[in-house]
Amino acid sequence: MTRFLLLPIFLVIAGTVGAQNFNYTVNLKSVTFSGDEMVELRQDDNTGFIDSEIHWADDGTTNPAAFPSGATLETTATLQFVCVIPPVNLYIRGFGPEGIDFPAQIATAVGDVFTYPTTPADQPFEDNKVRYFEDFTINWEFSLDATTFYPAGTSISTVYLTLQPPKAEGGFSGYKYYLTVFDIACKASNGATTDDAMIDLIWAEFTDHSVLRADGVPMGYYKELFSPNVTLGSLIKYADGECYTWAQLFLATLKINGFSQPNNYMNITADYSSTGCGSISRFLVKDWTFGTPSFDCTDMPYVNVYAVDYYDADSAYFYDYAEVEDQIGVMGQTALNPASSFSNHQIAIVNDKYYDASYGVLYETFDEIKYGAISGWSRTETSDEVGIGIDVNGDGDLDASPDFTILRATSDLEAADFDPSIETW
Amino acid sequence: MKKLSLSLLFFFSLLTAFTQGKFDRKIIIADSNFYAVEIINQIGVLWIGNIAQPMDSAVRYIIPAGTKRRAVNYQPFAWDINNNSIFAINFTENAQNDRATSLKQIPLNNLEKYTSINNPAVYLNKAAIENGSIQNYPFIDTYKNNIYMDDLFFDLVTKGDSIYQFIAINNNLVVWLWDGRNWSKSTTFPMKVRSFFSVYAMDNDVYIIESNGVRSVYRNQPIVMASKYFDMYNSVMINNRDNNSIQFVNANAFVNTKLPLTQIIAQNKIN
Repeated sequence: MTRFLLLPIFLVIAGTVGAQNFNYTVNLKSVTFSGDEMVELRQDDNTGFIDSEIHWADDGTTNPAAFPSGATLETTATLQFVCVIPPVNLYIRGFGPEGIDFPAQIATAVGDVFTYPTTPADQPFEDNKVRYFEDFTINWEFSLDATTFYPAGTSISTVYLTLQPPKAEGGFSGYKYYLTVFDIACKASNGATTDDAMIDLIWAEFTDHSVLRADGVPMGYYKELFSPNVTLGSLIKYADGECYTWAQLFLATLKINGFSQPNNYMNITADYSSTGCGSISRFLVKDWTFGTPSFDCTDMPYVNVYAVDYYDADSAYFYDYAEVEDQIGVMGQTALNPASSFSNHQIAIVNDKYYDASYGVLYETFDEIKYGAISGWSRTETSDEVGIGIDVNGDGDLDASPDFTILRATSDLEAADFDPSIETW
Repeated sequence: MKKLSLSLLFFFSLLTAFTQGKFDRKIIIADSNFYAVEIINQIGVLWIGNIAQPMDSAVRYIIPAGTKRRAVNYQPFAWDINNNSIFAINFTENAQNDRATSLKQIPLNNLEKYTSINNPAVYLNKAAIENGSIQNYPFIDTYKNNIYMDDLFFDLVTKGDSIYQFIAINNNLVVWLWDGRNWSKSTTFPMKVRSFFSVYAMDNDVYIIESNGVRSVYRNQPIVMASKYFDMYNSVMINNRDNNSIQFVNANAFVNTKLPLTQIIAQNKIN
């Protein structure tokens, strides 16, 4: 089977022609893209930059390239031309997609390898238009006399075109030109010609809860219940992250397309409303079921007792005693039932709308967040069996030790509000 | 009241591509030992070593607290050493963080030795949950009264049993004092801050030094002192409690920690 697959590939990249009583064998060896506006892409594991010296090679190497729309791609290529008596001159040209061609040039030889000099395409990419060329195919040809051309091979690489020049990598935010950010930004909004269209198309990619890394791995929101990943780089590297990372990823895809606004990164917390049980500092994201309350404290009548190994949990919360229980509710990215007991949450703001990329949910107003997202409010504190009046360990009495951490909760959404704080990312 | 002149050159706010180098904000010297904090994956790592020995020989401890790297403005870790404890404000990004417990007081002998932070989640969760016995009401109040936080800067300093938190946001400075029982809040002092500042205690006073080098003493209000202007942004403050001095060292000097701190200071001090 393998031999049958390889045959047509060989025919594409190599050709033999008889001319002037000689037999020539030509092989396309490599293709490199360049251009003043070409963006240097980073490896998704943040180990460095993707090789920008080779974008296609006959050993199977392919590397993607990225440009802003309206840029002019330049390319150089090498051909191996084997014959008994090598020609003095060899002309090479290339035909790319959508009429983006590379005019014939005299190639210089070193040994039997001829180099097509760095040459700009005969036209720039369309301006103000996002494009994703999964297979940017150039059909290369050669000629001995600049008149009659013969196939020399085909190069295929991925090319990303952003709507506007990407915003500069910067600062401490961790915003970098990761391959995956370009992949999502350009693939999802392919064809967009306006900011609004670009934003809408990219957002649509987040709403199906399946956002893929460039290598096809689905990235998750709390695949690990206590994910350590809070930066864009760690989300992409480990394909899992907290809400911070998802807000950053969404904003990064817009920045890659040259779109950024100040005050676009919102952290929400409970507003520390006072109750008879202490201030409310946490919230429970849908869905949580509220069972029979113990009414240890009237304003927050439900109590859970954290297990000692609470933070070792991988996929479900550990409680030694629970009156409030986590249920499958709002789906997160690649996660049917992600973490849902928080002190804070991070949401992107774009054009005064609230994009919760972790869940793929868009809120038109700030107030919608509370009613759309949460089941109740909560707080944690240290107590013991005597403190809450519950025989947690079931030994028939109330022990004054050991202390444990408890969660107090209420399903009364009017008991508190979200408190926003906004930064620029 | 003499108006506090804390306005900073605009370009400081654009220097986000720079960092302070290996250590955040300052190094404390006491009893011929130094205390420095390196931030790794948001988590603080406290170096404790002898000032005459290579810095690399320091023992390192993980602090269950740290600071994030913001997009717009650099906010170095706010920390101090007093009474064999480290005091710090946890400013990490973690969904379990609670502002009420963000002020940490941790005995040094409770710190775990650093080998590597191969599971940051453990320490980020510790930073969110543990050691927050003094409610950080100043943070709650600040966030409750402000929405836009790009220009939030803060630092803390301990003096005796008191904790001072200096919080600047949106052209206002508020000083909070914890007297061991309660927080008290100063009046609001108008000021412009577009980059971080540091505070330190010396000779029974508390001082503020802005990122352009302007110093003020805080005596119920900030009073500007004669100042040498320099770029604190790219330097590390040396708070030497053995000789009661404040110096600044080029932050890049700490790229090479094979040298003793005394030698690094001698070769790289700014003023």
